[in-house]
Amino acid sequence: MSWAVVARKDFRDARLSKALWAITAAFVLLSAGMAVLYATVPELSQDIGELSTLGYLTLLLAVMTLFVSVAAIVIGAGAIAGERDRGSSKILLGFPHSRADVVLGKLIGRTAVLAVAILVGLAVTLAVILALFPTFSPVDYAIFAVVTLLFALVYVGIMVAVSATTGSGGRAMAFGVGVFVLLEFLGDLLAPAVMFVVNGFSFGGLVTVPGWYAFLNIVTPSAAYQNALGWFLGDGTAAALTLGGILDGAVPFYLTGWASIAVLALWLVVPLVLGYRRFAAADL
Amino acid sequence: MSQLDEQLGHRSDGIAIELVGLSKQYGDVTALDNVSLTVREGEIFGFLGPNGAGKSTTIDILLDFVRPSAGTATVLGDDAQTDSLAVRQAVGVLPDGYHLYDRLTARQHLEFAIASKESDDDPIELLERVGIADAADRKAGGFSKGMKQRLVLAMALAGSPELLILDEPSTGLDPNGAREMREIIRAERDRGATVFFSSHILEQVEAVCDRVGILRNGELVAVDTIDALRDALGTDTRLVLTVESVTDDMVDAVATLPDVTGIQADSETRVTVMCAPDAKTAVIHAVEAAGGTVVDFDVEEISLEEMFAAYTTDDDTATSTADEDDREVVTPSADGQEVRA
Repeated sequence: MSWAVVARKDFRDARLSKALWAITAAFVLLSAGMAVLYATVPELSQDIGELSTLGYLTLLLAVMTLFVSVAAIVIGAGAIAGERDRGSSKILLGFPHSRADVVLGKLIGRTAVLAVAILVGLAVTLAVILALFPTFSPVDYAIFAVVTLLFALVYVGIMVAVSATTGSGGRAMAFGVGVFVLLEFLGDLLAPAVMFVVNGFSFGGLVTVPGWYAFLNIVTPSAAYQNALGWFLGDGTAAALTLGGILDGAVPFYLTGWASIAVLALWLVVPLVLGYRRFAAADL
Repeated sequence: MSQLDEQLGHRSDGIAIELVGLSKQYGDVTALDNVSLTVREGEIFGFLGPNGAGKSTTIDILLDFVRPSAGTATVLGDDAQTDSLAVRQAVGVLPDGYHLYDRLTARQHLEFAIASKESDDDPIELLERVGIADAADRKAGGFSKGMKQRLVLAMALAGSPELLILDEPSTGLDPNGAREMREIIRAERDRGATVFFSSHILEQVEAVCDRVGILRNGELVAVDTIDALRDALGTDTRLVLTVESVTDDMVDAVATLPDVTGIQADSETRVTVMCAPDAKTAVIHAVEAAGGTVVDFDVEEISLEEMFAAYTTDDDTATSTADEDDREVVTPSADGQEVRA
């Protein structure tokens, strides 16, 4: 279990990062603060009409998406590149760890760090919810936590993969931010752009929205995470229907929460495999 | 020795490191050029050369940090590229240009090293060996260079490795620390380990090495014992005589001796004579025959600095060598092996 040794070392090291503490503190304040606001400002819960765990989690979702992705950059982008840059990789790889062990160990170690931050935030928020909300849905909260941890694993994986491609910490950070911008902002343009091209370089004459268009809208990690949570937390169809727009009949399988989980799994595996291959071939 | 050690010993036929035709190109730059070298088990081998000669590149290839452009490297019978995990399991490493985990304590570093080697060493015992046990629970980020060097050495000792690869081990150590480093290197050799270390600090090498290899511009220019290399560079001894007063007769008498290649009056009372080692008595007799009185005399060997310079620079004035033009030095070494320069 060579990767576990790497992961353990990495967890001990990365958890002491001041940047991580700052970002976690910000998240805890935001998450708990939102719970307080949601419970005390009636306008925020107006559309639902009652204080509910689900209503709050819907609000929290956007904040959590941003927190996880930004924290993953901070935690993950330097994971391997930073070690190569500083020279601690010479210590790490002087011991009998394969480069695959290093990638896997970094993934697990750094995800564990982010998981602690997430769980601390959710725990503090839970205290607020129990104190201020008339009802609490432990199942919804648990589902939210589990899917969020999966999302954290995926995003850290993407950043560790980015980190595996270069020996410069600064470049890895720049790539990481670039990937973040690509996924979070340009990703939203993917579906319209493809639609534009498929439609003969125009948006004219579009009456119905095809299924693939809806799918392209939930193909980025963040969108897949949000769709999966919408699916598992809601009544099972609402989220997909919102995303899919005016779809007739049953929700196609590729818009379900399970499909989004599969999309997340691909986002976990593919970048890591590509990053590993580059790392494995590199001269340190 | 453990069963593992015996297996390793058997597989590698008594050879700790074998480089065959090893080359490494970085673009247009040749870092290593066709280097072949054999380091036997149980010896302390010094890998000498100026900065940029290719020492660290060679070590990086042994550890699979870097892949060779041509040739092979075998460590304890395992190919350094295809069986790197087996190599690194059996080897303890003190790399050059490393960085520690600033936020982890010395003890945590040792715990990582021990877990990585799957050994059962006590972190504190290893820290005691290198003299920093009292800093066990301090973070490595606050360590001096010398303490870091000791910590990495302790990590390298975890799991009682068959082979220690030490890249510039005395960097950052004060003279006392350097002496302790040499003691540890000898103790490891006595335990049965092979020690391969690179250095540009010659006293370090002379003090502990059984054999040395000298690397220059990516080429291995000499491999032998230090004594044999010194012999290969010419047999002249430098004889420094202190006399009551230096006279012209005395200088002429010595200069005409058959085995004297040079004489120089350093002062009123001191002359330096370059001569064959067995001509020393004749020189002293000649001085006395010319009416001089020898008060004191001193024999200086060619210093390692001069020897090193002779092998690693193109400056012909450094010292006289047998074949200075093409820098080929072929000499039977102490153990009868032919050594190619």
